[in-house]
Amino acid sequence: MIIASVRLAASASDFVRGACNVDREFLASIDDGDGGPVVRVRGDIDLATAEAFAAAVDRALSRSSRLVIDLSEVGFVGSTGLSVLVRAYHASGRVKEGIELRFPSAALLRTLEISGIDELLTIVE
Amino acid sequence: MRPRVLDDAPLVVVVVVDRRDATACRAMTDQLGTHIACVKVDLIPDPELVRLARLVVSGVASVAAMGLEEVEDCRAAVDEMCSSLLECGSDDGDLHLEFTSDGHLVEVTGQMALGRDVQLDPIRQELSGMILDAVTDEHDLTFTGGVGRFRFVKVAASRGASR
Repeated sequence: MIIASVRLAASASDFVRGACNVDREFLASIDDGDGGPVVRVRGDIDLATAEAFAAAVDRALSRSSRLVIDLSEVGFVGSTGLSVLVRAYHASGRVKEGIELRFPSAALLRTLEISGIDELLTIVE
Repeated sequence: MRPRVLDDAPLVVVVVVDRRDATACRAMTDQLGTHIACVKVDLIPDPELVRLARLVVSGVASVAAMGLEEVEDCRAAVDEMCSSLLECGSDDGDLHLEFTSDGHLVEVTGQMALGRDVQLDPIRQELSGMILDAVTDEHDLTFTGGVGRFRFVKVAASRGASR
């Protein structure tokens, strides 16, 4: 039984990208906070966006070994995004206070707990 | 709309409109031993299209009457599996995905031709294994014969199945 069978050609993928990206365009920026740089992220952190996320985190870490990552506008994080956080933990001297994750959603918090990252980094709910 | 099986049709399409219809679908498919949802998607190897796979599995999970957390689990699982295949897949090979549900569980399979050099990020793989162990009831990922394949199953807890 087949309800739907879809093959996406290269031209169709542009359409799907647009359709799936509504209000979810990925953005990672760095602001100066009181205690160090704040990386603000919007969108999903997955295989497509992890590189941009890693670049923002690396830039922030080049300014300070302590940073805040604001996840309040992040809908999804997969292992590609989590591996960026693990590498940042190592780069910041393996100190739990080195990186602060702010305002993760309930779903994201569960992912952080499953992966044990809540034990490595400071999480502010 | 009531679900119907069309004996003379090459494809059987069941449209689930509301919970009452979904129950009728389950009763019908239990009797026939078939799936109430099967979606096949072939994606070009573009990481940005993994979000489409997450979108599709959300829809199929809703057919199995999964709760929000279970739907999130399915999204996480399909993201992990697709990311692993795309990480080591061939640049010119499609990612073939099949999502099925019998109303009690969701099963997703995928396969993709491998590239010349299969190299998985060990940190990501470890994290991915933790996630898959936690969010699925069964999962399997293999790389043999030049093809990467995955399968995972998520049982709807509300269906009363053992977990």
